[in-house]
Amino acid sequence: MERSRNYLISVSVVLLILLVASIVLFHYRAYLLLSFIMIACIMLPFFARFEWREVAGREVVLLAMLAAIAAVGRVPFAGLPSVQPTSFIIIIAGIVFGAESGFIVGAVAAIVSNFFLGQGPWTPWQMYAWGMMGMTAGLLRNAWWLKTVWGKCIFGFVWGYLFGWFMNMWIIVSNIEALSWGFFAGIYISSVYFDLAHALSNVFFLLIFGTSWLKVLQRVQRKYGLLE
Amino acid sequence: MELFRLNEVTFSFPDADQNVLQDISLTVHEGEFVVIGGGSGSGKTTLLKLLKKELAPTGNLKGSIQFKGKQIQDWEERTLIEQVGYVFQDPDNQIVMDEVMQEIVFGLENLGYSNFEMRKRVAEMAHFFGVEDLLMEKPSELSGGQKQLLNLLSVLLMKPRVLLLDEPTSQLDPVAAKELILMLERLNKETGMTIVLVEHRLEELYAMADRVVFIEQGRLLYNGSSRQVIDEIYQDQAIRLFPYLPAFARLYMEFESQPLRESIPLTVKECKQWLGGDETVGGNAANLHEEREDRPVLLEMEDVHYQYKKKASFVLKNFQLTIRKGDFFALVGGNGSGKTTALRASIGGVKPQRGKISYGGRDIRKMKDSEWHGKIAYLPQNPRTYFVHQTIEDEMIRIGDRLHLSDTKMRMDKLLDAFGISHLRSRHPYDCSGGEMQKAALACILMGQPEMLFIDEPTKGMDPISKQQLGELLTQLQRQGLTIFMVTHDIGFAAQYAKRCAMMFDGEIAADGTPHELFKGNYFYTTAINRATRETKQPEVLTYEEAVGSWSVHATI
Amino acid sequence: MGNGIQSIHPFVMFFYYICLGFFAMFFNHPVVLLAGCLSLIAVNLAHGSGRALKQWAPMMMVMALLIILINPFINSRGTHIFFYFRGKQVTLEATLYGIVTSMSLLMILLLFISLNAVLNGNKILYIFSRILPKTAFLVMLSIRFVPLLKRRLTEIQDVQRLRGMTIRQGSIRNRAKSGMSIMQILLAWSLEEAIETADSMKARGYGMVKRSPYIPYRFTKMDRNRLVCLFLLFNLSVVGGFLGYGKIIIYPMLGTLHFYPLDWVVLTSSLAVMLFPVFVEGREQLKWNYSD
Ligand SMILES: Nc1ncnc2c1ncn2[C@@H]1O[C@H](COP(=O)(O)OP(=O)(O)OP(=O)(O)O)[C@@H](O)[C@H]1O
Ligand SMILES: Nc1ncnc2c1ncn2[C@@H]1O[C@H](COP(=O)(O)OP(=O)(O)OP(=O)(O)O)[C@@H](O)[C@H]1O
Ligand SMILES: [Mg+2]
Ligand SMILES: [Mg+2]
Repeated sequence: MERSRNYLISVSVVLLILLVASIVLFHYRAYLLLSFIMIACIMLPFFARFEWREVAGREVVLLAMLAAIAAVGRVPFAGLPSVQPTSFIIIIAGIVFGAESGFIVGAVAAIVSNFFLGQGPWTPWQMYAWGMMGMTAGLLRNAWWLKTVWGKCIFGFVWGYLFGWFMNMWIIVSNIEALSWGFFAGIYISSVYFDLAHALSNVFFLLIFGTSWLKVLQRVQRKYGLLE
Repeated sequence: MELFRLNEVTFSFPDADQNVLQDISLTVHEGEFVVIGGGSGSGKTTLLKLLKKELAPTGNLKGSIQFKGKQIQDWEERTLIEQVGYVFQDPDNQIVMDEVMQEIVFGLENLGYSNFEMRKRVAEMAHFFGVEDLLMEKPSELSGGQKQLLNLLSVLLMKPRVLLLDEPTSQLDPVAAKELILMLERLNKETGMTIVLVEHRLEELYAMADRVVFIEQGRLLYNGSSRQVIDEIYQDQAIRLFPYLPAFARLYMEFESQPLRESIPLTVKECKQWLGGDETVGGNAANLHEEREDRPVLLEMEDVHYQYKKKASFVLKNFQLTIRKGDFFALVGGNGSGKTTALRASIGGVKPQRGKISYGGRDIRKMKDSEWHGKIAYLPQNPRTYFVHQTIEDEMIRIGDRLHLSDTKMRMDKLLDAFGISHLRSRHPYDCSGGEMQKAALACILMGQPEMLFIDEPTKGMDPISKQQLGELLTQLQRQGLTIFMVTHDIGFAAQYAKRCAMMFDGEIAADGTPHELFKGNYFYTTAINRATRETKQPEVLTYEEAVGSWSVHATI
Repeated sequence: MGNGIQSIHPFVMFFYYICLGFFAMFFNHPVVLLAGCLSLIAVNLAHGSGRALKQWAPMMMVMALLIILINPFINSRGTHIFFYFRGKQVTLEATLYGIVTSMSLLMILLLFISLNAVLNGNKILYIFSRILPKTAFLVMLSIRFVPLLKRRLTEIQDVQRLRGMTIRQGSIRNRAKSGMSIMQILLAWSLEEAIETADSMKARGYGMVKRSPYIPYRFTKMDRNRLVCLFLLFNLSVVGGFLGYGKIIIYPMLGTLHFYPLDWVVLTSSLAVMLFPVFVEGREQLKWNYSD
């Protein structure tokens, strides 16, 4: 457990540094292409670990079901723009089942929801953002502050913004030569409403439903002796 | 050759004080068709799972289980996976892949077979089952019967020596259930495959089974050929087990002056021979339902059309239905004929593209969601959809709060008592058995004293005794003024308890009338006893109870 | 397994999309990008995605126009100055950069419209199942659950609506709350039932030995030839690209837009790659029309 955690942290940090370094050091022009390759490289170790590990059938089904639930979470909220519980479900899954499972649920939820809404160049970014959301929730699950309701709410709020910023990244990267503070600010300001709605709905869900959802998942975990 | 040999098997779950199975000794021979019966919670599923090593529940097992003369633990994993096939109850839950073809080769993929072998086996089996044109479909678009057939196929492709099935027909309509059973019989006869089947709807299985096994509270009570078991149960006068026996056998045992074990009728044909003659003594279906027409109309559906997707075909076409206050109405029909959809349309769950639905004289489109609340109770196919809270008691208290009842506690105790589930009040609903959960949900629903009850497949997976209890309860409620709209596959149940039935076909109601008018004379949509008593010396009946009531006293035959 | 483009082996089509994605982000000569966009429109029409194209067209137009219009005003690099706007220079370079960027994005979006239609669920999972078998299986399982979950959702909604939990009326807060309670029931229920799915997998030997996936698509000789052709042409184009052909220099100062002979070579070879599915589809049509 401890080893895999260190492994995850170091790999993602190293690759992120590589990404930044390559942009700064090499005057290579196809930034978008580069960013896709980088995202793929960042996520590959996580998937590779999942591939090599012994995974029980129950675990696979549970993860698949959680990802599917996260993906269809949008359906009952179709009438409420920008309110969707996908992030909330991913965070809760990460907290209960740990960093790796959190990452898998997040990344797979992105793929699955896009299978029904249409894949696009944003798919890898979405996979990365949601995957990281689940992973960080899992990594921090033993921190004292994440055990409090307020800690969870702050975590959800911050990720509401981070998610939006990651999703803006692909537009910025594809236009990096034109990058100026004005452009940068413009992109982020234009998405501020959506990010705020996302962050606030995360807080709302975590505040009201966090505890009961944790109970439901922990009950399943206990009843079937899963993913301890 | 012996396939399974169980020697004094006793089993208990980890932190339970009672044994679920107690000293079970049983042998299953190669090529046998064994049927296991018994009440809910008697341990049938547990027993069946113990025979399939991969599914064996964790717990305390005493005694030995042998497969082909060797302890089941000593067998190689692969051999057992291939040779022992297992089909579950719910067809939806077993499907893993997103395409029929992928699903049926799933087992072969796991065992590392070559593509050549997979194609060969699929080609052969798909032909035998006649499902070639389904191979490219999505499983989510199949009907219940097709899904269960698909599950059977995906197990059969691994060429098992023995097939274990746990209530495989509980979700299927009478025709699909019959097809599945016939398919099993064919497999048993033509390939010599051993079959062990757990089932509540035993009626037709008695004729096919080489052996019937009865379990009660974890103990093996009876074990022998169908006729032997029936005879023994009658000799022991085990009245509580009578409802499990096929109706014609019961009639024979009751009405025949000197019943002989060898001539207990097990099939419609045998029953007819026993009853003899073709003196059509017309049914007494004359006294029809004139008096009830003056009751006010509660639910009215006129000319309703509905389709789920724009290009899909219409699930409801020209659907007409009137339900009057105090009716006990049952809607029967095949899997996927649109029964649930009709029910959902009448409670505003789906919005019909055309047509008008009114409740109590008002168009339901104009009714607010809050107006429904408390007036109408709905219990869907799966009662798990109902529970939000952690215990049954909690659930009921919240309902009381929501409805601002003053006597929540009293009503709750009364209802729990009436359903006989007081001991479960502090249990998580999901930890109850299927029948218990159904009762708990019904108890919750009735907290608000609704005027109309919509109930979907209430008898699914229930044993005959619970069914009887439920039927009596519903009848009692109806007498107290509750209007009931029930959807079911279970013809026997509808015939016995409903006051009015309708059959759905091709999106509309094909026929509507009393159970007598509707079910008499059908081939499939009727009870076996009706088929057997048709055109015989005795009056035609639908249920065993009716026969007991209307036939001339004992020893007339 | 269908005909025309649908009959091409998924590997070949996947490679094709990778090539095109690479081109879109690698070349920046307006002519090459324009050729790419037009080819992809032709490809989309060839496999009958005209409707999807129409659906996405307004969104793509708006996006492209926005980038083209905004870029020159927020970015003032370059030396060919058109005019000054609020004290900032508006340059030819920035304008051209906007055009190139929007075309490159347009090409990627067009590519995905085609990809969503051609490499539908099972095909794309088939490709990934060769690289990441467990992950692909997980995704497949998850996709299979979605329709089931949707159906369960409607069932729960019906029941809970009659218990006074509505998501159609009331304040946003209450609607969100009801929606979430419904999701909670879905979660508890589905996780409970999923155990049976897991048991059914176990009963059929999941996780015992290495899986030998069933291969629904046959890799024919034709597919091999197509792949080799694509590969060669792709390499030719990329090598050309590394030598500077098919590309222009925009910043710090606009280079030449002139088309050299080798530029033509790059354009032709990349065009051959880009139009490859149209050739396949066209051949099929010809066969149907002119053979008896
Ligand atoms: N996982 C479990 N943990 C504890 N008790 C269990 C478990 N599964 C079943 N039981 C209990 O064991 C008993 C036998 O259950 P089983 O499922 O074998 O009954 P069954 O005969 O198949 O009933 P049904 O006809 O309702 O399917 C029941 O009393 C049940 O409550
Ligand atoms: N939510 C849905 N979306 C799309 N199609 C659906 C949906 N629900 C049902 N259908 C389709 O509508 C038809 C009728 O379904 P319905 O559930 O009403 O049948 P049913 O008579 O209740 O069957 P069963 O006896 O199996 O419960 C079926 O063909 C089904 O596949
Ligand atoms: Mg059972
Ligand atoms: Mg139904």
